Amino acid sequence: MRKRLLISIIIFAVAVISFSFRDNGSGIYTGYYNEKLDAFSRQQEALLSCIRTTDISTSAGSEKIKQQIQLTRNRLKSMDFWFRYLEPTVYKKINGPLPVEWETEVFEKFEKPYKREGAGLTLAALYLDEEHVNKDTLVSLIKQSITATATYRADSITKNFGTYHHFFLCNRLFLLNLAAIYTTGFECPDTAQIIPELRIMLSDANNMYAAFNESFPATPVTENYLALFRKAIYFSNTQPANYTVFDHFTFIRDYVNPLFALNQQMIKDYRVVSHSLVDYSLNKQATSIFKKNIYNGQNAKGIFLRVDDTAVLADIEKIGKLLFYDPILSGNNLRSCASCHKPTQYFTDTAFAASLQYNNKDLLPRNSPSLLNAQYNHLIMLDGKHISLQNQIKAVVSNPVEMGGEEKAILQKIMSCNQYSKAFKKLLKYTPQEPEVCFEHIASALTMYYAKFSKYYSPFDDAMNDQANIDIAAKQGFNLFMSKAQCATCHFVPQFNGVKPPFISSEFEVLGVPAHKDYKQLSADKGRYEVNPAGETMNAFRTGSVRNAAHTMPYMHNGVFNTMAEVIDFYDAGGGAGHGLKVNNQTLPSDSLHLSATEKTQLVQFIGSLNENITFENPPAKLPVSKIKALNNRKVGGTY
Amino acid sequence: MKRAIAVTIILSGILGLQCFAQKKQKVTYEFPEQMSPAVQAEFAKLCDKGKILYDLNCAQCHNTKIKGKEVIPDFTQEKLIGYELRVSNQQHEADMPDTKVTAEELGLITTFLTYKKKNEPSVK
Repeated sequence: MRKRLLISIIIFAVAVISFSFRDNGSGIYTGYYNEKLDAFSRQQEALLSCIRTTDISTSAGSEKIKQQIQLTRNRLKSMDFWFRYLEPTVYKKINGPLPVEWETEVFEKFEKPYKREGAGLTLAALYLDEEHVNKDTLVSLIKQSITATATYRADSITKNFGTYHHFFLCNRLFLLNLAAIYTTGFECPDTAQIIPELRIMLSDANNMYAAFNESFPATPVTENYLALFRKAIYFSNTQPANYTVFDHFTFIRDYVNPLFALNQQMIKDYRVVSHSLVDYSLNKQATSIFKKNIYNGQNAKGIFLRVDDTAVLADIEKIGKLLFYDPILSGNNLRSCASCHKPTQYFTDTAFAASLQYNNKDLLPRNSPSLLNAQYNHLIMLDGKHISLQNQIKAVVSNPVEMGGEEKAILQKIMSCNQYSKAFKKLLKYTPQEPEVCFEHIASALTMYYAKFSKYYSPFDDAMNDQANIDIAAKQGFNLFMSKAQCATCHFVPQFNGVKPPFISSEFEVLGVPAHKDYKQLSADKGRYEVNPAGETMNAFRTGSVRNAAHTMPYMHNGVFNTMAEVIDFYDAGGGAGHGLKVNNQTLPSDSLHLSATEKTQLVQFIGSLNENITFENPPAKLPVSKIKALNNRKVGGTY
Repeated sequence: MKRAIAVTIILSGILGLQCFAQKKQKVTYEFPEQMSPAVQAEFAKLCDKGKILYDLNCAQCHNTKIKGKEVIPDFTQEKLIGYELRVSNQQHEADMPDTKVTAEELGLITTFLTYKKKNEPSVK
């Protein structure tokens, strides 16, 4: 009996030892990565030697190099899944949409704007089409791409492969990009290659999933995910290769978005942990790309962010509403937030190209933006001057041409009203770091109030989330938006603003917006240049959201266009440069989009399907009474 | 019996006082000499706010008790790198997203930890 026990103990021990000495399993998966990385590196070298040995002045030579660039891009596409997640800034040296970009991935809002140059393969392909091609420039672009690629062999990258965690986070970003950029030509200069490149990515991902499952059998990509993924491959292979005819709508609704939900479930089930800044804005709880909690965006609760009690939150909102309509926030007690962000007009001012200045005579330099969905921007204001919603409020209140007040005086006036002072003092216990009521409390109540109108969904969201019916023209409009009309390369899915996955930066574009409809001169507004003076940022503006756009006229930073049709015509002709204006740094291609009248109507229909079903509120009946008598004749919403 | 009550009262009194004393316990800051007194005063205000936010968000895991005294550990500058803190470990990922600690608050906390007077070598 004893002998038996001993033997079984020995067998058990041997089993344990041999098990622990066995390859921990990540080998096959890591091997797959290294194999693909080697193939990419070899192809880069082949491209380099092709450039060196080919006569680029002939069209045959240029064609030969083009082919090599495409082969290299195809190899890169196999790595996209990892590259973009594991080292996003280095990725841009290999492949990026523009030769020079500022702060496209801003991890820390306090950081100074930084410049990124490069764009490797994209730039090389574009460069080949130029008239005087210099071999050295081409070589240096490819060399840059090769140097950048070496980063992906570093220990800091490969150490991720020891566990399964990075995999599901890479996959999340991959799926988000399938919805937002991979089918739109965001970084693909040759539109004929967009769908072929997509097919490569999908089929490679499928092989990679298999390798991963062999290496990590305890946390596998689930069978229902794999089955749906195979269907997505079939769909993309059987769809037309022309990205304008490709059915983006169905691809996202029936494949990408459900796959995203399944991946989120795996992230939860496998308790995936992030060690990357790439994930900091993404929400593990979101079950659809088109749910508003997909990313955190701005902190609308401000200083009250630790308040969870719904009754207390409702109290703050109530006070926020009174403040929103209260002209006490201005220097002359005549102007309120609601003066220019009219709640009856989608929180913007549709009557003027720009709102009136404090003097009630001149117009402000820029159009009042709608406050709806403002919280889904990374940076605030058209020039991205502010990093938080609360800072924007402070700036507007004290701006002499806007509300003409002064923080301290306004705070005193507000606290002279019993209703306000009582409410804010009661809330102090939630903000121990601020023992006295300060302007941060005021600003936070305001942002919390208006942010509640951003929680609503549009018919388009309902179609994506719940398969609700949607007008066929709107669907066709979306497919155009994602392709030929080139809207989605700046207005990214799902917010249709300038924030693309992983939702940690706001993009700025130079469109060449004219001063007047006659296109005689460019708008003199320097835009982003005021904040970050650089050649590329001159006249650049933060990309706004297309949501509710049917209701937020007039359009562009200076409100120059009154109708959506005018805006589409502006883009159709290639922006300012396309209309004959001299714009040195336009980021929008200046050639025509060749949109037909029907296509333009479909685009308008799609944009209409982004009107959110918002429940607006009536203004408050009256404003809080102040101890200062002179303040008590102020009107709800002010006199503007 | 009466004695027992008296002892309890005295004991709880001492305990209460101790709690009070602990609450009052002031952290001191060390600012660089080149910093003007006016700037130092401003920074001290920020540090005070940072201390409260630290107590609220960090103290529970990071503070240690040495001889009954709460000790805030010394963090090196490498440990106090802005947003990296948010994902530096599993606990931080769950407890410190933007929705729980804002960027501004994170700044105040790191300011406080940067200028907090370093602990005596005996209480490492």
